[in-house]
Amino acid sequence: MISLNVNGRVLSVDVDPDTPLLWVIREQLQLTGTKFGCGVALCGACTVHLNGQAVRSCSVPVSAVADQKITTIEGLSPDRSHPVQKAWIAEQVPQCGYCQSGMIMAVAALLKEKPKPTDADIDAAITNICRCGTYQRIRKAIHVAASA
Amino acid sequence: MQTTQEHNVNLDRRRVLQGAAAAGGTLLISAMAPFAAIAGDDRVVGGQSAVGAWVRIAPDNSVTLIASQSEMGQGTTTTLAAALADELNLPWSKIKIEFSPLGDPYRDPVYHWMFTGNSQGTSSFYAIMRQAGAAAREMLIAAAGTQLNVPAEQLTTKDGVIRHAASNRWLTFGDVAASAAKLPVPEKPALRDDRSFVGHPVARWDVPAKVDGSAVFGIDVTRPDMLTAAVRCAPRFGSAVAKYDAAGIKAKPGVVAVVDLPNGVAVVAKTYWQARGALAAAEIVWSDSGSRFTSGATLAPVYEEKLSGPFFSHKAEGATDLAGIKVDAVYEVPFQAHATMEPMNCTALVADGRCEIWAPTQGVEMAQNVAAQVTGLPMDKIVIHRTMIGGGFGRRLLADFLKQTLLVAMAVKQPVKLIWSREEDMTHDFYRPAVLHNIAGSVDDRGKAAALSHRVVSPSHTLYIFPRGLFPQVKDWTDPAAPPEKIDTMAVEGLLEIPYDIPNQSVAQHRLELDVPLSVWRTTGHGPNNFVLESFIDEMAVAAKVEPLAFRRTLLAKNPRAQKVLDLAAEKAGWGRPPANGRARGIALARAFGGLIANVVELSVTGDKVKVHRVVTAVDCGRTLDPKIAESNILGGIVWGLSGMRTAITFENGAVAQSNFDGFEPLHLWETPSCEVHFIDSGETLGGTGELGPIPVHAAVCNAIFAATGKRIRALPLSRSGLSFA
Repeated sequence: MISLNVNGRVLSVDVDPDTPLLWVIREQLQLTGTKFGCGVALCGACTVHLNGQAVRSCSVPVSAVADQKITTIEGLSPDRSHPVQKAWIAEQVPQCGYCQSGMIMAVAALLKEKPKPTDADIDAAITNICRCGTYQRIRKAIHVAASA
Repeated sequence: MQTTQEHNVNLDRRRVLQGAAAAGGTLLISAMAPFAAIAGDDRVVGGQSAVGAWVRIAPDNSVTLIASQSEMGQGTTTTLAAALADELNLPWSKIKIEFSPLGDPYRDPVYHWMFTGNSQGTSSFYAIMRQAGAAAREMLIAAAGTQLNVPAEQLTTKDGVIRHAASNRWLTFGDVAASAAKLPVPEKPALRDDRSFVGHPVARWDVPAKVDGSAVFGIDVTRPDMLTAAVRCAPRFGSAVAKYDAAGIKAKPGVVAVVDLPNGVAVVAKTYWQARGALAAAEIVWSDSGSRFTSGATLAPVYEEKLSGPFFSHKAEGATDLAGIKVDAVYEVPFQAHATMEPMNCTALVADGRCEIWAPTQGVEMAQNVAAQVTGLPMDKIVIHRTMIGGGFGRRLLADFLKQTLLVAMAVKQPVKLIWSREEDMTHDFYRPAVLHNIAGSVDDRGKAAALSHRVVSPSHTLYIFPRGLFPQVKDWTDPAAPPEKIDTMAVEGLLEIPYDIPNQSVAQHRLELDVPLSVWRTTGHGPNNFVLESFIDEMAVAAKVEPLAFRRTLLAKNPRAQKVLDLAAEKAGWGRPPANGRARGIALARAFGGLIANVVELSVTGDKVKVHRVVTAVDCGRTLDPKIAESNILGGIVWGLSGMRTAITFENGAVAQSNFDGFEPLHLWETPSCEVHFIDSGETLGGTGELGPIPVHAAVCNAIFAATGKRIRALPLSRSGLSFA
């Protein structure tokens, strides 16, 4: 059994310790907001916070994060009230939406570290892939969230 | 006349489809189908009353639009619901959306086939939605009139309340929905002129659930006692499983079953990670494929030999072998993968003579029929629940992944969710075909294009998606079937109906059959063809020694609509003024999906690095029903177009060489240029914006590269010319 702290809840799961955190979150914890995109940390659809930092959960074995603080999109706010979520709605950022949980988590982590990021900061930090091409609204919404 | 040509093509398609319907009996066509009354038993669904095929009203007064179209982020369902809300004079908050089952009213009125794609979801259904909303409103008013015993003309509606002012009495939609549902659907209801939503930016109904993780995509579906399957299919096209150690797989933790597929193996386990792990450890031996492409990294020789072979003439107007300055070039466009962010997946339960499917699908009619073929069950025992779609781009018109899921579900007799890995997704796509295009033209002594001829080597884009009513001999609708040459015009799309007035034109297609599975990809034939056409128009301008915008304008005198679009993009980009030091501009124009689009790209080239600084776009799609949604489609399209200048699918030893987002790398945020989109409301027939955005980007970028460096790009991806995006 591995003890996890996810969205403020402490629970234990009985899985192979090599199982990626992504699949524990999605299957054992039934938190499906975190998405599977590539499985090799290239696309960022699976981004969650580990002790406040953005990590790509498809490439983190669950055994490596026991008892550490994990936040998923479902734990970002109870009511879409996080400034990034509000900016995402105001700017109507998503299209298909599949990558957006990961985007929002990556951006929330960036804003924690750099509350007023420059375009260069955004370019360097937000490396997730969006196949619908919502990048221009993502950049704008980041600035909106930063000025909220 | 270009318009006549296009018209004939569509008529041909329609005639063939109708003929096929009569012969095969699979497609039922009725001119009034979208407004058919609902039969008695179906008038009440889940406590809601069906007022016509499109509107259901609950006792709590909420109104549900039954959406024919799937939602994959293109916003169609929001815009169609906005049209409905306007006709019903309802606030946006009262409208809910549900996806329809397969049904005659929900078929696309042009193709008589139920699907979401070809950029026609809005243009096909907008008028139908208005009429459906107006009809429902009249039915509700008529029912209220009967109940209040007053003439319908004395009643008004607002916010779901039907009011009789003279007697100060009122009823809600919910009060009268059940009796309204029994009334005949009026054929010519009066449409409202007030537009609270259409023409304005509407908050998309699907956005909130996409920012808090609650949106349910196909991959998120969960059923009681559900198992999960991982799948591995033969890496080489035409290959199959020779042998593998099924017992070894079954011994792995969590594994419940191993299911043989026609060209692969599915492992079913309690969790996906268990299934995937057991499959990865299995040593599957594959048979020889017999593919023609088992060696050699490129298909170029296969294409090149076709250029001298037989062809089908789509168009031959005037003589194209004229005196004057001649230009002749060969262009190449590569295979592409859809690479939707959500890998292929599907969930199904086949038990007790019933089949229930949860699928992210653009192709409901295809899916339902394939389900009947695979399970042997009658159509009315099959229910498809459409989920949110994590990217479609044409890939999810197909039902190959659904067929796999059903085969597994039938074997395990339990709900099962089948999920492809990214590697499976990229190596078992139905790829946008590569194209080889020999284009030639001549310029007269006044510097004007006088002739243009195309010889296109291209496989069909529509082998797997053309409405199956045309092919009664095809028993498994996941099998390919080639439409007759005369109506298989997708490979020459955008060449038969160019915006320019060039007196002598020919378009010939050399058809090519490949062992590679191929299908439509966002932009269909327009993408590759416009890259060639608009790059070549630039080549002709250079030969004529005329500046590229001016050269195009000489060919648009009879097409003021196109000229306006081109001029607007040029004006907004400051075309008449020189760009900043070190920067160069390129321009391109396209006519596609019922609309027109022009791009001006501004970039700089440093060594082998191309930095795109700015893309200015002008669009005329008739009318923008939702400016924000239309803009997002165009902006996303530009990113799609730029991505397609870097990505390509190639083959090694008969298999796809790329397997993930490293070898096939879409554009990132940091590479995305500043973009602006300007719309022209011309009032012309509605076009679509879903696939319009990417079309002229390739040529606009390459024309700008030529302006910057003098180097003409005639083959994509850019790496073929040693270039990459900065």
